[in-house]
Amino acid sequence: MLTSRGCWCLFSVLVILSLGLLRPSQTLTLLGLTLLLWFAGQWLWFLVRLSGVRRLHVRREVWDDRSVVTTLWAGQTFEVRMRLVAEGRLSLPHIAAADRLPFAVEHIDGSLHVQGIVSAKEPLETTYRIRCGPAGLVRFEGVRIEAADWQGLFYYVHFVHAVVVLPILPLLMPRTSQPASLKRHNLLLPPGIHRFRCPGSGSELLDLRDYLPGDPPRTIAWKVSARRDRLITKEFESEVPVRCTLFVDASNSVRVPAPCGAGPQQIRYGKALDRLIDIAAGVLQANASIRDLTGLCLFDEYGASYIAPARGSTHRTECLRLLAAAAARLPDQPTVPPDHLLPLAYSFAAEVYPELLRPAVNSVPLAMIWLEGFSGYARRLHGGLLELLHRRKSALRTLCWWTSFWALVLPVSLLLARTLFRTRALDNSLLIILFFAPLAVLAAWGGTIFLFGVDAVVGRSKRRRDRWRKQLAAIVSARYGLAPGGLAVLLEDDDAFSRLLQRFLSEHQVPYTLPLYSPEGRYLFAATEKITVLADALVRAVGRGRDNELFVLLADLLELDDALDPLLRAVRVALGRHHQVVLICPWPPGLDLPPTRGQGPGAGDAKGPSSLALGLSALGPQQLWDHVTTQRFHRAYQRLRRTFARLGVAVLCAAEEEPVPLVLRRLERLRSLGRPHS
Amino acid sequence: MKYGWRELSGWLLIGLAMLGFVLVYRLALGHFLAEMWVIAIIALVVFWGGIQLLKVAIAARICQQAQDRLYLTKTDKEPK
Amino acid sequence: MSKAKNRKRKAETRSSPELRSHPAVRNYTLFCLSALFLIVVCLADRGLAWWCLVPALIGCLALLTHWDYGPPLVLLSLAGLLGFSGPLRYRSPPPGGWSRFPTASLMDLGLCIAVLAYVLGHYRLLSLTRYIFPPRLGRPRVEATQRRSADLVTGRETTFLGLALPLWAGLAVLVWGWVTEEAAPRNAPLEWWPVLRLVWAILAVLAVAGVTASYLRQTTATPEEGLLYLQDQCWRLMRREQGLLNRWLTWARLRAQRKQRLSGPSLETRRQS
Repeated sequence: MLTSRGCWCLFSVLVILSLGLLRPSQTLTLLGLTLLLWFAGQWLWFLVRLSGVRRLHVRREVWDDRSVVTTLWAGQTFEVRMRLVAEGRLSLPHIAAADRLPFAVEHIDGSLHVQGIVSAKEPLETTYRIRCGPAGLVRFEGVRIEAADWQGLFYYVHFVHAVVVLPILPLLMPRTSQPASLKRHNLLLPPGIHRFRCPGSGSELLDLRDYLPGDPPRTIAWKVSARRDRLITKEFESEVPVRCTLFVDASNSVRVPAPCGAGPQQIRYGKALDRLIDIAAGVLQANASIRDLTGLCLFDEYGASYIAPARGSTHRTECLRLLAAAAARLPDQPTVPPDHLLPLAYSFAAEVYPELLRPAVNSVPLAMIWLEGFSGYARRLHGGLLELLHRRKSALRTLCWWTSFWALVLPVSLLLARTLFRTRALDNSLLIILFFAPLAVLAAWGGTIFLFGVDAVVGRSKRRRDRWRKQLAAIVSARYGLAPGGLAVLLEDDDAFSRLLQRFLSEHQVPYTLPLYSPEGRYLFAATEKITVLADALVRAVGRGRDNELFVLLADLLELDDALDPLLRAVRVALGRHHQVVLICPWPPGLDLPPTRGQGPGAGDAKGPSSLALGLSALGPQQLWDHVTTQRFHRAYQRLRRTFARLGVAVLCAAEEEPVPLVLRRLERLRSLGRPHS
Repeated sequence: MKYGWRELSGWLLIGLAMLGFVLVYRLALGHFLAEMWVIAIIALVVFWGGIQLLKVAIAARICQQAQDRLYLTKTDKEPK
Repeated sequence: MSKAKNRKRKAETRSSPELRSHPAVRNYTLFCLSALFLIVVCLADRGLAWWCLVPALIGCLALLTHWDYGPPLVLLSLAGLLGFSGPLRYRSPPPGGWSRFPTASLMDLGLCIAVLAYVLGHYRLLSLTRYIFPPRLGRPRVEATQRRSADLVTGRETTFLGLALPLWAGLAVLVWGWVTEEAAPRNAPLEWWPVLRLVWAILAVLAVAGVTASYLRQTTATPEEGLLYLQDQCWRLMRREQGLLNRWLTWARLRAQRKQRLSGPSLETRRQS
């Protein structure tokens, strides 16, 4: 509340007043009193006007070129108009407002800051332009308000919450060429209708067969019947719409950032899911343009959500919204130590929830920080000696008290016993106790004081971390309905705290990174459960499907060879029902592309083991790590391709360099060629 | 009623301590100063014990509620 | 951080020449200089000879450099000059108590107004040229958004400033008169009675301000803040008991988890590095 400027001013005024009263000097006293009254008056006036600051409102509108919008598009530019409105007649102190820019957008021009005095008649306004990032959600939290008097002696920070969540839909690529315009047969079907080599009511001849009773007379091939001297019936192909169902992987494994590499593309495609969503949106758009029906199934480790194939703009918007919501989800992993997330979460909370971090509502007792420490059971298992000391300071204190207690009780008991039984052993024991008890007490207290001193000197970062943890635990406990007991639980249980912290960050769309591997070296985001979910979803889609279905699996199945069996069974079922299946595997951004068919997995390393070892030794640790990861992914991709090639399923790699149209062309080729009827 | 017995015992001890304080007051009126101090210390200890029992019972109930909310509800799945 | 970087940072935080020539900045500078001149006149009237120039020199220097510590230094120099201008020994109040002091002269009043004008003016000037919102922790560099825009200064603001100065000085004279006029009760130290009354009055004002601030804060608190406050109170009362119970519960959960992991192969063992 009081700035350093205010503190110095108050100090000087008090010095003048004290000197005036003590010396005594009427001039000085009067001077001190004048300044003190002015200072107190300013303070009170500032306090009274602060209630108006807390009642400020924010009105925000997002405009495109023409009007206010409620849906944004990836990569597009929009204008944000923010207006700060005051209620009541009381004039407010000088205010600086800063609109908090969401993480999903980029500021282009215009000012996020505006300052002045707000009143009911004259609101503060600012306008700026933003460019949206990849598909997801954009969350405007509100406006940070700084209030001060004109002298800068008093200061107050407030955050006006005005949460607006808008979806960023994936950008629909403009079509550069007209696919499938080649006339492969002497037939050009209307858009949305495809040949299906099963007997049906189409116009293209499929086969001739013997007449069966009940066949319509108009299908009899009279000329052929005359030649063969028996009735022959014509069979025609079916002409059906192709239904395409997209199975998009939204599991943890595609929500984590790329495992290695860094480049300009990594900023655009920070995670594999962004790429998948762009491809899905591209396929949606392409299918819509040729009037094909498109369905969507989003799946993760826990379950799947399904939208039946349909066409039309409403259906497409619904699919895009679902994709945007999936893109907005951040990875979650309960076994991650919360210390990784604490600095980010605390700085965000300090920015957006300053009122919930005030000592009046969210205190951190000094005794707990300096004398007791937060025990944090789960973390204590992995901590070092200093960490253990920091955590168990209360145990040291208890040890001191118990030592002192027994050092007092034992001699008294022995003295009492000696009055009853006078034995030599008792005398000796008493002597030993009388000698060692004070020593033990001294050692216990001295050692404890020393260890407390050590902790006080080296444990500054730990104390800060404890403070952050307590305050954040209190906030998430109250926010997620765990109060009043949740605070104590979250201080002890690292996993629960970590999970809620991730939820807190995820809800506010704050991007965070998690360690990919556990301390034991286990990959934490494999998400093998999604295979079963995907297989079930595929089987269900086959069950609902009609004749000519195309199932596009946009899923990260790399290095999950051992768990693929349920999916392979489901794919066999789909192929057995004459449907087509395509697998598009997202390629992690920043990694080299897998070798093409001519090259083997180790084609680049054909110089021999010795030269390879020499080359590897010249690499730095980061490059070596990248190299090993790349090789690992290449091998996994080849294995996956071989596995699905046995079933006749094409596997495409959705690499960052590979444009969406290329993927679409491959899909188009697969669709137009069709699968021979077996 | 899982923690009810503890809470009830706490209240009983507090009641007992109150009786002790009444006794102390009566002793003080009768100028039995030596006896008064002994009873007062005992009453204080009993009162402290009652408060501790109450605190433990309430803390246990609060912890149980928090654990139930944390682990019995499906919080590990993100809302979609 | 190196000294060169420090210097560069300080140079960046200083005001630009355009800002110095802004009418609002110029007016406040002139206002402060006039106040300093008035201070010199008042001090000279008290017979302080050349020493009366010391506060004015410090003030001028602080005005030129836009130094944050200018007003406290001017005030402390004034305290030194006025408090220690006589012999350096304790002087008790005159016989008969503080009420025996002559009433405040016009020069005393002038000095009060001049000093208040200088302090007010200099701080407002600093808000325009340095910062009005203090730099955030960990970000020592002052950004332009932390400065008050000079364009926002209005003529009304200056008028109010001019009116406020005699008001505060007059109020101080009134308070001082109230403090010294009432006779001390029996057995009270006659010379310290006004001091005690003043100290108690200040403490009472501070207490009222504190209660008012707290009340205003509570009336505008959100439900989330209220819940947090209640949770915090509950935790403070029973943190040891709750901590102990939860420690055991966490231990039991982790043990069960460990046993479950050991009993069957986990699906998470894929993708081992």
